[in-house]
Amino acid sequence: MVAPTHGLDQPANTPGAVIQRAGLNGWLRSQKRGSGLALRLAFYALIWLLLTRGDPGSWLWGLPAIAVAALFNPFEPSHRWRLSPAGLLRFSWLFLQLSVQGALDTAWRTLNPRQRLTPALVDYVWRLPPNGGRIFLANIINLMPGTLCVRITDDAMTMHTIGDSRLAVANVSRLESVIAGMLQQQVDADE
Amino acid sequence: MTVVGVIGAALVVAGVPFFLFGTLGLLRLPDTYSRLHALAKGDNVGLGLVCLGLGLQSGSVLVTLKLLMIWVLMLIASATGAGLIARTALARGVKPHGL
Repeated sequence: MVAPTHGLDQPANTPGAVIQRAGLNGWLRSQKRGSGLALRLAFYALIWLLLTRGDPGSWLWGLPAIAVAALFNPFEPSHRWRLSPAGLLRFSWLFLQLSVQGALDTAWRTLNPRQRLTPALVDYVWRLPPNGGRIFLANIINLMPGTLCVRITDDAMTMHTIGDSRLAVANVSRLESVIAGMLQQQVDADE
Repeated sequence: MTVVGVIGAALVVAGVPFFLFGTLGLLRLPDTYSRLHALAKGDNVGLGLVCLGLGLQSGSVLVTLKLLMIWVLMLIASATGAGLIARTALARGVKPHGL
């Protein structure tokens, strides 16, 4: 019944794997290539500022820590991420809407699980390209109304749904389009 | 208490029932999968409201942003954790209730 999961769950470009292939120097070089070093520095500095509430003395430790952390690219260096600010706003708004809907929906079902729980397993075929936010979508639907990702394969993900599964698929499809817009990737229109 | 303080307190109070329903779901729902549904979704909104409310009460932008960062980190942990447990359960042959 359970199909083998491959591809997405086996990261071939983990630091360990790359160091084995290209050596330490090669890996360090690849970290600097087109990987948004400046953006990471700014982002980590912001996190440090928030963590320390702007205490000036903390930068003595903060600056080296930020510099070292920014040197490590958490993404594949060969893959450039482009984020659309308007797309990010659209995604955030839809995320907030669906979050509240999801929390109210599960609370309502919890009150009377015998009548209100209609579990189903649904296969959802990816429209997002490989390497383009599929894992992000698979994880984010765990917070959305009535959906839980229970299997990821190269072609599709299987979702566990506890309500109207057609509505759940429609929501995921909407979310997928918005994520594609946010990451500036092309997907087919909603069905 | 200022107006902002009152709104903050109201948001914190509004967030509590979501945690309550998440826990109730953990106790009442029949299988791993549906319990994960209840926990992940309830905590997401519950903690969001509590963090936002506390941020408003603090009256400091830095503290509010720090609380929002905590919320986002918790969202990542909660969504990833729920996904990992659910995928492992299915891969190990745990059958969803009613299927």
